[in-house]
Amino acid sequence: MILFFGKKLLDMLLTLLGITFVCFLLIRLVPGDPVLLLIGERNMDPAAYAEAKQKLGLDQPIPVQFIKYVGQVAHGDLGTSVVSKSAVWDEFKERFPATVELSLVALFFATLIAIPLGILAAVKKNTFYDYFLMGTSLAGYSMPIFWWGLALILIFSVKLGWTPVSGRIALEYDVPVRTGLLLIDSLSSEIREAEGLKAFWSALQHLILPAIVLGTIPLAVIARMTRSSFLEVLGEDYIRTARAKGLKENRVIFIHAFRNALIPIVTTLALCFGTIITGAILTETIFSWPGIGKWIVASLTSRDYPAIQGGVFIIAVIIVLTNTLVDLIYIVLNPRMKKAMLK
Amino acid sequence: MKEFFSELWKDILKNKGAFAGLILILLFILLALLAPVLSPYSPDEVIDGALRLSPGATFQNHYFFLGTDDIGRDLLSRLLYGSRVSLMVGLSVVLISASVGTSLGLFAGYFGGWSDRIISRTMDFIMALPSVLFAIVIVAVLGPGLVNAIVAVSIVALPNFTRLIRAQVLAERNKQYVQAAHLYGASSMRILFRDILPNCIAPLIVQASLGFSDGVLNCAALGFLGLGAQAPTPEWGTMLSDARSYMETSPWMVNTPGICILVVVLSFNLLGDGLRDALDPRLKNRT
Repeated sequence: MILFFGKKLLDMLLTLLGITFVCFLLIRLVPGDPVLLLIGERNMDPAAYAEAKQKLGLDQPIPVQFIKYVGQVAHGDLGTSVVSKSAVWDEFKERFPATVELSLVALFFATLIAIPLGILAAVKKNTFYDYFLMGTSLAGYSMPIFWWGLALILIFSVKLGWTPVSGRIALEYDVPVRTGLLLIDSLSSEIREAEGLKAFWSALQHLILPAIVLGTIPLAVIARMTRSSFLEVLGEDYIRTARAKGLKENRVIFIHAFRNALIPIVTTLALCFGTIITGAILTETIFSWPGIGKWIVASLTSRDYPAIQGGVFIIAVIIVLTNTLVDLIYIVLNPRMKKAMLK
Repeated sequence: MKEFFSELWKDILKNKGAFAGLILILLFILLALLAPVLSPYSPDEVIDGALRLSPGATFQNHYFFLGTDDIGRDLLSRLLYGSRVSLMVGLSVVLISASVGTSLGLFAGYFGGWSDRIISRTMDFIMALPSVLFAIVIVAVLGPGLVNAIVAVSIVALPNFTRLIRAQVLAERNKQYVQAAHLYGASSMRILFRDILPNCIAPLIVQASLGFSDGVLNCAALGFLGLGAQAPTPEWGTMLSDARSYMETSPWMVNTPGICILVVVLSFNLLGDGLRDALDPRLKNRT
């Protein structure tokens, strides 16, 4: 067991090292002089250039540069944005809560709808419901969400005027940052005294469309996974036994089958993280949502390479950490795998 | 081999979804091939004064079935030529990622040891980054453009093929026919490509179909972000992105390319999904 955990952690460290290496290479592979790219200038006088080069450590051999870079990254120094001139880590920190809030609400919405639909499709296998639900979910899975977002804006914001087109909250509300999640911050006592629930309502209105757009693909994936997971479990002997005992169908499905069917669903949910980040890049661009997705695209447009380098690094690290964590939790939760491991 | 394909054909006929997918794909290919014949105008032809006309509009003896865009080009013609771009993108992504990915998977699975470790680790690494983010990194280095977007999306798709084939080879490697070939003195290359590979065809076809849809979708997403095909290429994602500013007054400019992308991606997913159900022996006999 310990050996296995050790191997997993070693794998993780190797992947992290690989990510660091790619991010390190990024700036050196981009056409152009890395010194100018990192400073963000087109032309510099020779003296200032030499000084900058030395300060950035770019006058040293590549292996030394890499070791230095690893050291810097380990200390949380991800460089300085050439556009805002502030630390990349601070830029990231400022925007991360917006993405977290959007992603959490999207996943919540997706799971809430997907699991019942998946169960329905499995229970009504090969009926109209099943075909309809699975057809729809395949369409959801194939959805170009950058169009889906625009189509929803057209219908709900432009035609019906139900939701705002962009941003996180109406400008008139000045919500002090506590958690960075506006749905929670807007419920703080001072805001409630001043504005009642209006600020919260505004934040929610801004969040609905982006969350639906971002949740669409995970919804489809989770619904399909729930269906196949349930079909597998419903074919097991213990389900037949439960039915033979004369238990009500609802009890068989929601008590007996649900628990076992849940394991692969939870895994799928955790592995949706990558899909969510990809989706966030597109969704945030469409809705001008001030999160990390929009930030990275904007950095790319303004050729802010230190920001791209740092942003990609942090996202990759978060994903690798979640994936490893999911692997480990999965093993702890699943007694059969634990047994196999201990043998 | 012939038997395999006639069996496959029967499976497709039985699975309604796969069949519908196949019909849509054939239609899509036909439209792409016949684009020069079917298009009323050239995709870059600007008709003076015919700005953002709605679908079905007529303007000085010109008829625009799907309307025109912001500089007066016929949308139907652009979408038809766009299907060529998408077909080319999907094919290139599948060909590149399938050939490279399959070869890597064959080597990793067959030789094991260091080659396996290096290849598998690299694939894990590619999978650690979300696809569009990874593609963004590659495009950041190579610069925006359709070809670079295709390269980026192909690299992102590599692990799907490599892991699939590697697992398949691990299962086949110790079977008797492979050992027999060894005893016959067949070279490793011959065994890999002549004996083992044909037995991996079924999952490879499924993955190719799903890979096509991923490729089209990811390239369109890069186009939408301004990192893929550049104007005036009639690429659907790029067209959609260019049309954003006119979304409220001319929604057809946004909706038509969006629906095209959805239908093409969906049809390849339908086919791939149906084929997977048909070809997976575990699913085949499930009641």
